[in-house]
Amino acid sequence: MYIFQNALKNLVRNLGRNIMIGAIIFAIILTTVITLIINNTASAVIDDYKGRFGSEVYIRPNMEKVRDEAMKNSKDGRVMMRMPQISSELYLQFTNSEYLRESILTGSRGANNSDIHAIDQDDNSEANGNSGLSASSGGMMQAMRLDGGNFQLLGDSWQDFNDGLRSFESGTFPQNDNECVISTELRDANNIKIGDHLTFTAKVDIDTPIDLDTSGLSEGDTVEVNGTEYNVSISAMETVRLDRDVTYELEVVGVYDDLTDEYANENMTKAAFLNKRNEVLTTLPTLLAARKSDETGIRINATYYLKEPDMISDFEAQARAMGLPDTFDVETDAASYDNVVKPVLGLKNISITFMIAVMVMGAIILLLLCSISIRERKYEIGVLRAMGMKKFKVALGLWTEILTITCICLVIGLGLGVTAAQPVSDAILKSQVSAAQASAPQVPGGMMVAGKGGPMTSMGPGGFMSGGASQAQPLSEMKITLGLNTILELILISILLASFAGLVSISKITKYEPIRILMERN
Amino acid sequence: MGVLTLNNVTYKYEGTKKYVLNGVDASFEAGKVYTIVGKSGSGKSSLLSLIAGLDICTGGTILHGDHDIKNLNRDEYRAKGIGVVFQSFNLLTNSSAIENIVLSMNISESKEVDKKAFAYALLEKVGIDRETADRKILKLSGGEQQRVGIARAISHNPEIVIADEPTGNLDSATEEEILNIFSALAHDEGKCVIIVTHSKKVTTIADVIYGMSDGKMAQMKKRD
Repeated sequence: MYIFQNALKNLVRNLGRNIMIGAIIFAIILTTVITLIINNTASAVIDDYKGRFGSEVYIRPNMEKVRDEAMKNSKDGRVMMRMPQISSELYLQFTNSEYLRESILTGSRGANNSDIHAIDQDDNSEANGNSGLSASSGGMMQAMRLDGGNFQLLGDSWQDFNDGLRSFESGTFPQNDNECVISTELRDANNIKIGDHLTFTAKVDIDTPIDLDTSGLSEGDTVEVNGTEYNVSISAMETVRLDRDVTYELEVVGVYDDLTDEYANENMTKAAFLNKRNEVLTTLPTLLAARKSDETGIRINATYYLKEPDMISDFEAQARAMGLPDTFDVETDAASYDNVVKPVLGLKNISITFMIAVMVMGAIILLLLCSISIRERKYEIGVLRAMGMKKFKVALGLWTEILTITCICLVIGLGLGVTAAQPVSDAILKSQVSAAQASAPQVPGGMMVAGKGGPMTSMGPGGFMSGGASQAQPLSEMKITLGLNTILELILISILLASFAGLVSISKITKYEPIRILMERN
Repeated sequence: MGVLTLNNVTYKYEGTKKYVLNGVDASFEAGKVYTIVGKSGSGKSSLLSLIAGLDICTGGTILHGDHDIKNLNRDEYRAKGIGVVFQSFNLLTNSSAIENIVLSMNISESKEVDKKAFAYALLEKVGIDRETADRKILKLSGGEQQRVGIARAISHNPEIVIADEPTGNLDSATEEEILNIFSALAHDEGKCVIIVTHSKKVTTIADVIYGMSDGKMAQMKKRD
């Protein structure tokens, strides 16, 4: 105990010298506090963005490969590009991958109902069962409801409820399969009540088997494939399509108010199949139950999140093994990640470099200062040793002194550092954002693609071939926070710093015998 | 047997061939004042360093009671077994007199409950009043510093008190007072007091006088 008391008294006894040592330690700690706070906050931001951008998987058709494939199969020089598809079954299979943290699957299917009238339904048109396509003037595909029907049956599509754009006017979410929720407009237009049953019809397709002889087939014929009968339709380009009707018998269990726009774009042609009020919400299993595993026609929206961003290669290999065609690319949103994270990464690197430089320089200065200080206190050490104080107790006293100085500097340094970290971070980040923007590659524009009137594959929320989230803006502000981990790291660094300085004292103490010190002095 | 016995003690500095002490034999008993006299370079201070446990003899033995101090924990020996009064005082100059004494008591793990009160009493005994006791060492006179040095040497109640030229820097009036203190320590408190000196005046309080020359020591006079 007296060692500590004596050490504390010594701080005041040798005030001038201790202030000098304290100033060096303070400079090191202040810089460390600022850089460590910036570094740790930047790391947290990077981790967060890694999770948000780096781990979301996009499975997109590679149009170059699609074109190459089409050219390879062309016999007469004419190239017919057909949008590659992924069966809903394959999408479901991907969810079993051990590399995925989370999979969000929704489904949709155009359908008709002869008992009720859809909003904006034009009874004179051939909407029933026909294909539709809408594109914006910007050239980007906005909607591709090519699967026919005045209504859209949506499976597990509840995001608008989460976003507050839809809310229940009455009833609840479907608790079981074969239950559905409809809009208030649809209810009012058709006087539907909760508990009513609605019957929708839709079409599902099957790929024409290679071994099927289609030469004698004509529109309206039926063929049997795998024990199921399909209707034959022949397109203008003489492509044979096989489909069959399926029925959904759904009980209305809820009615929702819809704050979304009826149409995604005000320039859109008004048509029932594009009107969001005609969306009938049910569960995905309900939607999928009507189709067989080898059939297509139900559009699946799948969003996969990897456990770790660097698992992308493993996931792709697994997806390929499950049957993902080579015409699809599997990727994460690297562009967004780079765009957002690069400035923060730059900030982090600058702060680390600066911290290392200051710590090395500071440690050298501290070492010299402590060395001089100990030489000055050599006599005092000699007296203490002559009085019988053990070496380790002398060392403990000196270490306590330097540790106390360090603790005082740590407290002041933490206060000042937290205050200074935000403006320092803002200034560095600003320059990093400018640098990142100057070097950022141009994001390619959207691409118009058209598929056949059958089922479509749709990827992540970024949209189909739209460039997705890569338009994400770089982080312009980073809220600096002082976490418990940062505080613990600072305490550890401070103790190491004090110990490092204390090492000088200890090495000197063990070097000299008291008689030598006193003889030199006397 | 004496409290301290030297048997054929030899000593030479590291890296040198010449022996500073060359077969010193002596026995020191409690309750007596011993003075060791001799010219500069005769080996007096080296002998004192060995007795104080600040250094180790090259040959022979120095027994504290039955124990060779070579085999003792010398830190412990210095802290508890012996009190040393240095010629140049060797006090902690940026501390007060009282702080020097209390620190010495702490190092020797003194069992005194109120160490500060004990230290004040001890300083008073050697002629340092409370006000002077609270002053920094640097603000004390040479005589006052020497008194503090003596108080520190006896603060842990050692059996042996050794002093190296304790009056060398003092005026004759102060010298007299200091010598009285040493005499009282031996004759009233039963301590073994060993004083290294070249002052004839110091020898007047001695019960036994040893003379040193060329590393050898011989008894010169013994008071009846």
